[in-house]
Amino acid sequence: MSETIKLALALALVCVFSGIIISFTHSSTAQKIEAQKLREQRSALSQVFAPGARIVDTVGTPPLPRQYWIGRNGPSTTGYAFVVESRGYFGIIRYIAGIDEQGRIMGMKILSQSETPGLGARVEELVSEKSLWNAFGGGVRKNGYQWFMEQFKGISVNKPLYVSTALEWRFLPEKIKKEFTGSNTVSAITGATVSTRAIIAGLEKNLPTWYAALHGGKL
Amino acid sequence: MISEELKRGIVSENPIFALALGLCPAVAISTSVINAFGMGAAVIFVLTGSNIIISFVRKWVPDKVRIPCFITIIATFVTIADLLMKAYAPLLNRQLGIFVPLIVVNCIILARAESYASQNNVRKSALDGIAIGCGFALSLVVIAAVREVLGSNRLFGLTVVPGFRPMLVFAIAPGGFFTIAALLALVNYRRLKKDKNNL
Repeated sequence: MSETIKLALALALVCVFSGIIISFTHSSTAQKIEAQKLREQRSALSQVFAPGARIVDTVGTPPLPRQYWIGRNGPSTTGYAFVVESRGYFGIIRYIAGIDEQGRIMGMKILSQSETPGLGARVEELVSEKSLWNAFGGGVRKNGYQWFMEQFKGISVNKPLYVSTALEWRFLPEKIKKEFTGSNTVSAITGATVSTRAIIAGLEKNLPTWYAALHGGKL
Repeated sequence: MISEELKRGIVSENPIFALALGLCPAVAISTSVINAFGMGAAVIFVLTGSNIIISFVRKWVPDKVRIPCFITIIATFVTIADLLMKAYAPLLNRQLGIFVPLIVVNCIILARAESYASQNNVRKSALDGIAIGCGFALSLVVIAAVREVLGSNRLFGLTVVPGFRPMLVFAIAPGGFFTIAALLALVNYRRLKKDKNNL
């Protein structure tokens, strides 16, 4: 009996110590983590809206989400941005989607996702046009862009959306890219169809309703 | 002493190429060199930290509950690493995703706790953690470099041969196994040859 108690006590002591250490780390990083999230959201918003737009925090009533953003340029509205959540391969994919007055997507940016690294996680893959050889040659390193989210620019949320699995957007020639946007088509990530569809499903499920709500029910 | 320990961790007791431990995260995470560096750093931190604490409490922890105690200590370090990454390297944390919390069940760490830290003093255990951690990190980087170049035609996120369409299979899990198997075969071939020469 006394041995059982001794074992339990030892285990309990280890757990208490680890609990204290974790809660200390948590309390000292919580603020920083929250600030990081806010910063990411702010930078995502500023990329979604046209530069120079004033971004207004707005409280929505159903069917609109509780929080969304309106971009204003002087007296006129340039567009709206929402946080969209959708179930991916592993967990929830959260992203910001901005649409203009005509219901065309102005920009999209991933906030958080837990897809497979190297496959689904490539929804936020950065592509830089620079090649390794250029990088060695010096010069300014251009910032990469999220090619997967980039291709949604100009896509209308009020028309059916098509997915092409032929070739990833970043490999397409400029002319075909324009054709894709014109016919409301986006390319899937090779080997990550579920993650691709999840992002599209989030758009299809929410954006038409929200757009209609903002425009008094008329599409 | 230190260089000897490092040599042991990187060459003769290399977690991946000699002990064949921790292959699961090695396959999962080695899709890009940056990920491999991040994961390697996290493992070095957790392994060194848990080795030090486990060696410190080794005489005091009852034998029957030593494994749950070790796992609790390891999980504590993993949680600290995860929180620190979220606060100071959010982008890397997003890329590594679920594999940071999963360091808890990485068999290298429990293996070192059980077979080394629980039998050696704090100083030796700390050195062992750093050496084995470096071995793991370096192996990850080598695997990731091969896979990133072949599987996505990139290195450090930069295109290697413009216009070349990469072999996707190397970016996904089967390619990870191929790469590890090929490198393992190479390492073993050299080792066998060396042994033969010594005879």
